[in-house]
Amino acid sequence: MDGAQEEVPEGVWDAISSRLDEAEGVAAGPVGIGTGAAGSAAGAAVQKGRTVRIWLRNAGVGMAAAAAVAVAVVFGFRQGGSSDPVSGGQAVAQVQEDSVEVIQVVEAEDDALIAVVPQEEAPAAEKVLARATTSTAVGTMTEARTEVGTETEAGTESRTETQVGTETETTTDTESEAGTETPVGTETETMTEIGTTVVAGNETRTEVMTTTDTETEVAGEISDWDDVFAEDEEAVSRRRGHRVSLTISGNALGGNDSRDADMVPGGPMYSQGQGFTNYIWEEHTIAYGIPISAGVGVKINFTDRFAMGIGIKYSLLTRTLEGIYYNNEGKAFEVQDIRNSQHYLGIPVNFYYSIIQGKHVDFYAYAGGTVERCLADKYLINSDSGTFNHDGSITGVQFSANAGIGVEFLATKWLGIYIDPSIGYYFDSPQPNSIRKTQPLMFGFEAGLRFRL
Amino acid sequence: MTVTPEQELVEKCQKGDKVAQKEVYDLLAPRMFPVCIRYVGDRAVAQDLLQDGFVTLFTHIDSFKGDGSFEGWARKIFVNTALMYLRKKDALKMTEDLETVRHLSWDGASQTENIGYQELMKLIMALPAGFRTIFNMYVIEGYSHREISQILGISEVTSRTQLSRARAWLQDKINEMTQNA
Repeated sequence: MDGAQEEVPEGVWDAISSRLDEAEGVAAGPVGIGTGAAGSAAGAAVQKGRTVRIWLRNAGVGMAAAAAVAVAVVFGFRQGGSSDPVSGGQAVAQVQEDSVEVIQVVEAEDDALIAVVPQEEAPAAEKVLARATTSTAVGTMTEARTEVGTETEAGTESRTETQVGTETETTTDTESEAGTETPVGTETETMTEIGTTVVAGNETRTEVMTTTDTETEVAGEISDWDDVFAEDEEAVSRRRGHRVSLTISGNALGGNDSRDADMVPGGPMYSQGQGFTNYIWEEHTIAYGIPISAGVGVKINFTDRFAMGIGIKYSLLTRTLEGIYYNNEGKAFEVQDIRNSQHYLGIPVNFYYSIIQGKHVDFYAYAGGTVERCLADKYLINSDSGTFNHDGSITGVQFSANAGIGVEFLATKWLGIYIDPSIGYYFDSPQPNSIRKTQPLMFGFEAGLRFRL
Repeated sequence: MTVTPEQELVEKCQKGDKVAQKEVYDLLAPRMFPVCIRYVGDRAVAQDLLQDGFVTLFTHIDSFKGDGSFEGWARKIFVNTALMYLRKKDALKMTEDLETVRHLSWDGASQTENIGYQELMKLIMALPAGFRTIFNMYVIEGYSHREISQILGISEVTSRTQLSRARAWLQDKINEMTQNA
């Protein structure tokens, strides 16, 4: 009976061949035991679908966390702002609001000449129909043309017109009305030149030139959306002086999901006449621990925007599985509690591009990869017959690639706290079985400190 | 050192040679299929296990070091694949559902020589899963009771008891067949 043969049904080899091709094309795929060829394919499809759902869920959580952190940073600095359709120049800080005094114009009888006469005091009967407001930013000159119309009770309608050829130059009058409060430190300088020339009996030509310089120094906090994102020359200059940073980091990866994943066994070691020896036949992974990493490195700034980081990273992967343990003598032990821990050491290399460099915060994008090797593959086997220790064999190295966005909060001029969410992919490797084989696409969350040297 | 045809075939498979893989399949499948049938008692399920076993075999063929028979190494894979399936189906629990329990000695050679292989296979497949597994592992594969107890997570006493019950049941069935023949 040991040497008995049975005719194998048609189509078995085709199914085997396609599964082998699929296994070669996909980084990792557990070999599940189904109740039929369709069941096995459906099981693999379900496993892939589950992997995708797990990745999407973890990626969504990570992105939401990063977005929440970014929003908190931005809104934490914001103290409100104002928008003004009549303003110009680059807004760095909100300073003040000024009102333009109503300018009453008297239309001359001869419409060839138009006069603009600023009134120091508007007649009590006048009703202001419009008022233009101007927000003046720090260090800028605001230039705007404002046209207003007034209607007096007497029915006179006045308007301002500038005829081609006149040498009337009008700039926005930014005199503050009485009672207007200006922030501390505001200096407003207004120069008004008025010249009046009587040309003829009933013609009056008046030239008015008003210029205003307003400068306000706002000491303290940035209080506008633009403030956070605007380039800070001082900050950039400060960073130019620190080309190298020392980085200390910690990392946790998404993918901690207990599942009934059937691991592909690592393959038996057959020794003559004794079957398997010094080997664990993995039947079923019960749960994976969260992969965690810690490392140190340096970040070198090549330019104000581009930088490279390199370092050393230690990673710990754990899992609980059940299977059959064969000791050195080939004796088999059925075990439901096998604890596996894998210790990796790797060299991560990343390239950074600084998108926004603010005074207190940096936003950047980065991409890179890691090469690492498992240094120890330890198994603790808790069987009914006793507890055993087993070391797995290790060959080759593990390559991975990653990309993400990061934010660094500059606590002081030499210390920064950073958060780097990322997405990583672990390429197929001969390293021991782990979550990286069943879920090669993983979401990561790294945080750490950067010390500018 | 000359390389045997078997070693050469295995080396080609380790390099991913599809033609060599097909040759290995053609060589082993007719021998491994009955192994699967004996353990699970169902040809359709055995066909699936045959697929799973070969995928495992080719995926991890690099771990075959050439210290012993390749067929023996492959057989271990298929036996373990079948045991994993039975364990998942919770089919390895020992049952008491044999019609008769008699303590008779088993002389496999003399008592099976009067029936053909196919008839014997049918009888084995008709055994309850737990009895069938122990019968296969002890009588066919050559495991000891101690090894069976460790692999299946049962006591040695249970292994021996279940085996004797399986033997008694088979013996009754064989006697019926020979009397009716």
